[in-house]
Amino acid sequence: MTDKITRAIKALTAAGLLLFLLAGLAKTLFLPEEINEYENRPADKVSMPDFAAIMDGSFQDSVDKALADQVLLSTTAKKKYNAVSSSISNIIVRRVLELKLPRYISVGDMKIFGGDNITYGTRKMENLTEALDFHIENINGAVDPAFTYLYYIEKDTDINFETDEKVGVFEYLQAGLNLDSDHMSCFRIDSFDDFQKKFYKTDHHWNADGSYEAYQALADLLCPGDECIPKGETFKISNAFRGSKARGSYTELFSEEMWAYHFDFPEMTYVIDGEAADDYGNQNRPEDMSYASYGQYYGGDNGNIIINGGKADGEKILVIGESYDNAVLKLLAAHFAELHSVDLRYYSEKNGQFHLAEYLEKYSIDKLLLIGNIDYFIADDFLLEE
Amino acid sequence: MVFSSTTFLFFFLPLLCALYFVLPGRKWRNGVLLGGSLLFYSWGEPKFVFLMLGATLVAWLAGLAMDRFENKKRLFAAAATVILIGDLLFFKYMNFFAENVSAVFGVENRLPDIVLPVGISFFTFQILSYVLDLCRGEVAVQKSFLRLLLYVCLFPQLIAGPIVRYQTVEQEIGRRNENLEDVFLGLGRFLLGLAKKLLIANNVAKVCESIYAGDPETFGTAMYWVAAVAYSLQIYFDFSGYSDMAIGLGRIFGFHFLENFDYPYLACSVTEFWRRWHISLSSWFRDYVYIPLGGNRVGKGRWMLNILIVWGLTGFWHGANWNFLLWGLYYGILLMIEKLATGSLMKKLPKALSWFITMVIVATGWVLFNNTDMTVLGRAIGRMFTVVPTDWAGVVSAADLLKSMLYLPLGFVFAIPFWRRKAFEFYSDHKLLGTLCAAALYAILFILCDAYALSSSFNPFIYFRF
Repeated sequence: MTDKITRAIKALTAAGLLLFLLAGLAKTLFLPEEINEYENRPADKVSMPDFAAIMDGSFQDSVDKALADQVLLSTTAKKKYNAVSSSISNIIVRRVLELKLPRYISVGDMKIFGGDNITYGTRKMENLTEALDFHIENINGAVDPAFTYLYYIEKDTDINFETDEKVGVFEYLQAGLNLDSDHMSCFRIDSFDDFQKKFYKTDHHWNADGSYEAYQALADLLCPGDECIPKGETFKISNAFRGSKARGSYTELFSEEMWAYHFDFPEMTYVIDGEAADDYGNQNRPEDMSYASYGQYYGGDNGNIIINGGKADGEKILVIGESYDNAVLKLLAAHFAELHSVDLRYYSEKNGQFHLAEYLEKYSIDKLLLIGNIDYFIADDFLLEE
Repeated sequence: MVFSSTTFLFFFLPLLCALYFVLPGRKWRNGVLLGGSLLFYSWGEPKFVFLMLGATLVAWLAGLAMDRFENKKRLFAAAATVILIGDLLFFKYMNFFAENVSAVFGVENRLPDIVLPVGISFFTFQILSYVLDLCRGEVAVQKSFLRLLLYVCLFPQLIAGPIVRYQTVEQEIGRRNENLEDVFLGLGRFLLGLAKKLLIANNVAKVCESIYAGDPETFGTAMYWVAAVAYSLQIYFDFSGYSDMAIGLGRIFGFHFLENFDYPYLACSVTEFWRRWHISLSSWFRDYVYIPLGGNRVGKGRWMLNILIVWGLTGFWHGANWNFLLWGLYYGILLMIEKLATGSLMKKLPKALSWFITMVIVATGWVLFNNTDMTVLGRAIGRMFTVVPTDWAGVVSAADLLKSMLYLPLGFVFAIPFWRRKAFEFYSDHKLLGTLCAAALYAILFILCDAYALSSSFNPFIYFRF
């Protein structure tokens, strides 16, 4: 009798596992899910095999990915595993943070400094010079120094908070670019205290104080003597804002308050990627935001934004930048008759190929501002001319 | 395809098992195994399946010729050996030789990059064992090409061993008895191996990687020894895990492969370590290289040369790089020293001390094995044998490293046979309860491995659908 029962248990175990695996395979092949809800993306499915796809391995890759998304209980398995793994990480990170070490704490690809500031770690100049030289040559060949301005934004990658040693990218740009020295300025971060005051803890952008300081400096650089729009009252956007840096699997335990200043903007009109818009961002109606983020509040990374009517008798300016300038565009527009913003990463999607000289001529631009952080000056996406 | 991939676990294995056990008769079942094994091999690099077919064809033709022309056996065996070794040399070592000739003589290396076919070292040695054993009259000629091909490409041991000799499975290819007990035990062995690879090896691997890739100012002598210990555990659980999976899968289909590991980290001498580590490889070199060279029945000088040849080849078999050769010669020299001088002394030492000395030697050996970059290797060895302080605050700051280090005790615990012995005793003494517990353990291991294998594909897309 015992033998019969043990045989039955063995048979059931082996057959049960086999059936479970076969059921997962059948679901993957015949009843695949369209969306992977847990990972918030389209679910992978097995592609149709053909000779070329089999020989180059892409069909095999599709099977591997599809199985990972489609087999029975795959989402539950991933959820449970990641929950346990994150809990262990969180316990360790919290314990380490309690030690209050005056140094970077490595967590995944990120580094924590000063308790709850997620940073990207310091870049090394020797790894940057080749790309910087290429961009300097590109800028020198494309712009007219007489009306071109540059604003460099230092952030966590420009300084080692343990030693306060700086990478020196702005100085490198100053030495290489054919621009007048009074046409170049820098948003400086000289210490961890500076960084804390001017940047979010969990997002890679500058915060309300940081962007307002940059606006003042830009107004001074571009329109000396102009009065800045004063800061209004502060108001809270979120109690638990999780910026881009807190979306990694190890850093999701970090969150912070997100707040902003109220500004009285002048009446202006907006054209975004060729279409008229009521506003840019949600600074005038934060209640319309679907979730708290820098882009939702200040405005997204659109390829082309034109803001009209800030200052009727003012000049026309073209700002070529990236997401950091989103927070200052409306403020800056108040000093110009027309402010044009171009983000070279997205311009061609809806506006065709970007040609600087043609754009300057077409819109009779009086001033050109190049604004960005280190990535703007090393990534190919931001080259002014191909 | 590797055993820990989702494709193997959720596609290949269930489909193959279902087909295999549904079909009646040896011919059909062998056909399923052969077709499945060829699919398994060609999954990653389809074109190399022809290389394996060609190598098998050479051995099959040589075998038929040896059977037909008894007096020219050695000639055919030698010809086949030259072709098979030539094939291995070309695909595995030609780039290495060309690079070194180019570096030494300052000539341009015009050799195109030769891609290494997966598993070539294993299947070449398996095919050679058939040819050489046939030449010695230890096995009968296999007249069926398909059966010989099934032996060569049998998927459980095809790409990472153990090196199964033809004589081990000669009978079972044609006549074997698949039964429930073998399926159940094979399944358990497979899951155990999978857990060793996914849960222990993959996690302790991060300890060593973090230390070697980390800031050299942070990690001093103590942490470089931690890295050496972590890598020792990683390579053991990785390789022995793979062997467990191979042995378990073989058993599910009725094959009984020999053991490849016997708790090597219990060894109290280098000689004992090599009796317990990668047994199929060391016995292959012993039987097909060392003994034919004269073994130890020659003068001392010749014996020392034999040892150096065998261990140089053993090292080089693992990879085309100087560090592997260095690693092989390191063991050759240590084994000579042990045989000539320190062996008897080691026996007189307290067991704990001889074990400790052996483990220091083995861990140092793994550092040589692990680092193909001579700069990193030099730094690692330098740090281990000089006193360099560790910046402990820096170590504590590496939260991921701390997390990986949590798996080290798990490695220590399961590197000893105590648990397995106890489990088998319980299973044998309490049939019903033992079977129930084993079934529950399988389920737990399956769930854990399943979750780990799937989570490695976790790839959230932040902005989709926002």
